[in-house]
This record gives sequence, structure tokens and C-alpha cells, in this order.
Amino acid sequence: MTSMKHQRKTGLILLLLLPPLLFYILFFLVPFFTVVGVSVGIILPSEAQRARGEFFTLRYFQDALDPVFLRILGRSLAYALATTVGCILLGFPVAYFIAFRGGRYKNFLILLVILPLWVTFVLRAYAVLSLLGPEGVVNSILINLGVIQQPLFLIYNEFAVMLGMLYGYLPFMILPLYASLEKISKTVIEAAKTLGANSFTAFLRITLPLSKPGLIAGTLLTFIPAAGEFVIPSFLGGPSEVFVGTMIYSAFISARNWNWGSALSLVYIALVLVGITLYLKYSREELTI
Amino acid sequence: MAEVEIRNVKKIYEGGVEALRGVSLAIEKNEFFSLLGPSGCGKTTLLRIIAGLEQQDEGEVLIGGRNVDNVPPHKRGVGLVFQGTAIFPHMTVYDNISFGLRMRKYPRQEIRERVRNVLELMNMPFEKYAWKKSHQLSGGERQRVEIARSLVIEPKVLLLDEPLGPLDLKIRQKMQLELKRLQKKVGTTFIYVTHDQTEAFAMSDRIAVMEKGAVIQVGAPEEIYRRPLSRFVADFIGETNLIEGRVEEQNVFAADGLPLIRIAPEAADGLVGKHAYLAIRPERIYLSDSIDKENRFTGTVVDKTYMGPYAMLKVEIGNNLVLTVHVHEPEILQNLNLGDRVPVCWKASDSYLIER
Repeated sequence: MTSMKHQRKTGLILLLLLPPLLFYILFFLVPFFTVVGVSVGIILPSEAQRARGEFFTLRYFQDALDPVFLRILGRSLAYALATTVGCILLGFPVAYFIAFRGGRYKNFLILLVILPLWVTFVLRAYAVLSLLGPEGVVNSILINLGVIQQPLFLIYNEFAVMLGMLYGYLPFMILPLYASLEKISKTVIEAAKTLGANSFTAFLRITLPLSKPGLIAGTLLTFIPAAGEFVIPSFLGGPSEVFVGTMIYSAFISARNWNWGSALSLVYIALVLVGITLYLKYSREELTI
Repeated sequence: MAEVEIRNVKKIYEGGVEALRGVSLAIEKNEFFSLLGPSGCGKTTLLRIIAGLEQQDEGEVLIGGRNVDNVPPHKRGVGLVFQGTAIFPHMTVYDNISFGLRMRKYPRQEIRERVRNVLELMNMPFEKYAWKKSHQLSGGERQRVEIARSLVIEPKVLLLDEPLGPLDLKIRQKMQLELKRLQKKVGTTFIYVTHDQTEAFAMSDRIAVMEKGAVIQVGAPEEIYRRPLSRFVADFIGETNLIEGRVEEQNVFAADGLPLIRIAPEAADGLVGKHAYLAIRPERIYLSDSIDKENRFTGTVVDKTYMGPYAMLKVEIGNNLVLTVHVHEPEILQNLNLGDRVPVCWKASDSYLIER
């Protein structure tokens, strides 16, 4: 009797899982393995490959591991790291303030944090452009105030890319940080104070370790997409600010070399995966006092 | 010299809410002192001001004879125990308890020794508990860890904010006895905040009853129970029958629609000719007409409730005046029906007067 009930319940769960499962297979697994197939030439072999009569080849990976690409990859990861650190430094005080001092304005303040997300990423990149451009708001004000004679070059350089990245990803750091800071009960911090910790020590020993889940989530949410960022460097960066995303894009669209593009993508995915795994392993151990 | 002295402390919250309106108290060394009152009476605010977690707007706080108004919480030498909710969730029991000692830079060996001793004091074997994480502990265990964590730094004063609030009745009663035993053993001054009068009565040497931001009576439990000074205290502490009327003479009280009531002459000092409440506890009223009780009435039973160890009767003795009577032989209920006429009586010296 109970086992029949149990069976029926399991059946229902499977039925409910079927649509998302199909979705994942169709739109995640199939494309992913297609990319893997293309990268080794099993799918969509190039003219040259066919001429040589090769069915399976690793030559696209050889191309992908070219020092030029690796340098670009390294720069992307460095930018992503800088973005993440910058978002933590800028976002932590904001999240802390809203969580502990927000009072009845908490929800309103969080709304302000996510407000930029209502506008598409591309438009926001344009916004930075119109803010920092030669005839943009910043330059106009500075010239009108007489601080400078000629407009400053504020875009198409590292500075503009960094600013655009911080602007774009800050909400993704603030939100999870806020969520975990908000859960910390004030009495825990007060207890630390009565036990002899000053405000700074209490923050270091109690608040910071307890905000760890938010820090980890925020880091993942900013680092991964920032490393693959494509829009911001193409809009705001100069010719030297080529990111992995831009590179892969041009491999597919401009060079029309899908095999090479696929190999590039897989190298990038593998590197990020290793990095994230190490980070999770390390951060779990490190932050537990 | 009092261990903790509070002088005319006032606290006004944003929006003009007066949390404390001029509270003065002197709490002696090694005393188990309770702040008792309904929620919102200001007892927790007062505790937080003593701990230094909040600043009063007026008045001063002295600990060990020293004004601590500008001393931050971590330098006041007080411990604060919450409801078992302030345990550090990311640390083991050992790290929780040793936190204060580590802050004070005690040597490793001594920390271990002290943690072991305080756990023993709490009846928690070191080997079994030291390395547990907070989520592996029950509510009562968390509570004890919190108390141990505060005691281990040997505070001059331990402040406890409704520490037994979330516990089940059985564990609560057990913890009440344990806390009292502990307090006598370590000889620290305990200031205990609660809204539960039985809890305050079970543990305290003295109690301050608070209402609307003011202390309205301070005294030993017996004193407060036997001789409440205001209608609020009489009502809040246990149950009391209050009869409104006028003190006619030094030993006579008159209430509308009732025969004259005898009162103890010493209770009426300074009240003759004034309006007052006559207060009599339900357990001091008897269902008999024995000669040695000066006040004897006949009433109608309007309600009866079986309470386990006693029975609670409501008896109307005229003019819509209903008295609550506790009968210590609940078997009497079997022979009593609603509407029955019964004799009720009490001794003049068991009643007291409260000025209106």
C-alpha cells in the first residue's frame, strides 16, 4: 500500500522533471557536445582537413593554445579577477550598510541596486560611453568649469573597460552579499562585543566569516561572466583590450573558422572550471575558523 | 557599595517613545536580581544600557563604583546572555567558549583548562561537547554554551535577557534551578530580565517590577507578592481580587452593595477617608464560615474550573462583585454546581489596601 503510494509519488516527480531535463539535453548537452565535436573536426570538418583525409584531429587545439590567444586569455582572467576584487571592495560596504543600517528602507535600497539591471547590458555600455566620451558628460563639465582645455581620453582604454565591468557586475556582488549579511543576527555581533571584541575584531571574527556564502556566490556570479565578457570590451576597450569573448566571437563570425572557435571555447571553459574548483576548495577551508 | 548602580536613567527612542523614564536601582554584589515586567516595559533596554550596547539619554550607570558611561561594551567587564540565539554559528563549542579568553590573550593551556572547567560546571562533558558545532546542539545545550561562554571570562556582572524564553517548560524549570545553583556557586552578580513571574520568583533574591519605563516596586519575592504597592503589581504578580471602595475607619472598608469589610488597622495607615482598593489573594479566601475569619459572606458559584493541584471558583458576593477563590481540595468540585450558594470568608490580616 505505502510502497504503491511511494511509487506513484516517484513517478510524479519524474514526470515533473521531464520538461527541464529535455530542455537541458536539447539546449545544453547537445550544443556542448556539438562544440566538442566541431573542435576535434568530427563535426563540420574544414576543407583542408577533408583534403588530408583526417577524421579526427587535435590541430585546432594546437591553434587555440597559440601564445597570442593564451595572452588574451590571461588578460581576460586578470580583468575578471580585478572586477571581482573591485566589486567586493565596492559592494561589501554597500551590502553591509543596507543589511545593518537600512532599517525600513532596506527593500527600497535593494531595488536601487538592481535598478540598472532593468536596462539591457548593451544600453548600459552605451551609457558609459556617453558619460565618458570626448563630448560626454564628464568632459563637458570639466571643460565648462575650465579645469581642462581639451577633452580627456576616457574611453577605448583599460580604465573605461574596468569602469564598465564594475558598473555592470556590482549588483551581482551586492545581492548575494546582502542576502547573507542580512541573515546574521545582531545579537551574535553584540555577544562578541560583550565578550571583549572591539567593533573591528567583531567584524573580522564574526561578520566576515558569516558572510562567506555570500562572498562565494558573489565571486562566482561576477568572475565567471566577467571572464567571458564580450560587450564591454568591444564597446569601451581600445584595440589592445581584446577579451576571450571577443576572440571567440571573431573566430566564429569574422574568420568563419568554427573548429578553431570551438577549440578556443573549450580551452577557456576548462581553465575557468579548474580555477573555480580550486577556489571553492580553498575558500571552504580557508574561511572556516 | 552596590555592584551596579543606576541613577535616574532615561532613554527616549526616535519618535519620542520613552523607553525608560528615570530609573534608579542599586544591585548588590553577588545578588540574583530580576527585572520583571510585561514586554515593552523597558527591561531589555535597561539591560542593554548596562551592557553598553545602548547609550542612555540621561542619568548614569556605575559598575563597581565606577561610572561606565564612556566605556565600550568590551571593556565593561559584564557578560551578556541572550536566548541561546547568539551562539557563533560558524564555530565549535570550544571556540565559542574560548572566544572571550582569546580576546584577552590568555595562554593556550589556560584557555583549555578554563573551557574544560566551565563545561563541567554546566554538566557538559568536555570530550562529548567541545568539538560539536552549534547546529548539533539542542536548544538547552546552546543556552548552556552561551552561559558558559559568558561565565568563563569571569565577569563582575552577568546580564541575562530572557535566557530561558524559547525552552520547553520542563527544561526551563530544570534550568531555573541550575542557574540559581550556578549563581550561588560562582558568586557573580546576576541581572535577569524576564516577563515570567514564576521564573523571577523561583530564582531571585530581589525583583524590580517594571511598567512603562519605570520601576514601580523593588523587593524580595515574598515582599512583592504579599504586599504589592500598586494595582499594577497586584494584578501582574499572581492573581488578586480587587474590591473598590473607601476606607471608612482604621479597620473598616466600605464597598458599594456589600456589608462593611474588616481590615487590618496597620494596613489603613494614612488611608482613612480615602478611596482605595482592597486586595485579597484567591488562595486566602476560604469556602467556610469559620469564626476566626473576620469577613464572612455568602455568594453564588458562577464558574468552576479544575486546575490540577487546585480548583478555581468564581463566586459572586453581590453587586456584580465576583471573587476568584482557589480551593486546595479540587475534589470539592464534584459536590458543587453552578448557582449553589456557598459561604466565603477571609481574615482581615490577609487583605491589604492599595491607594487609588
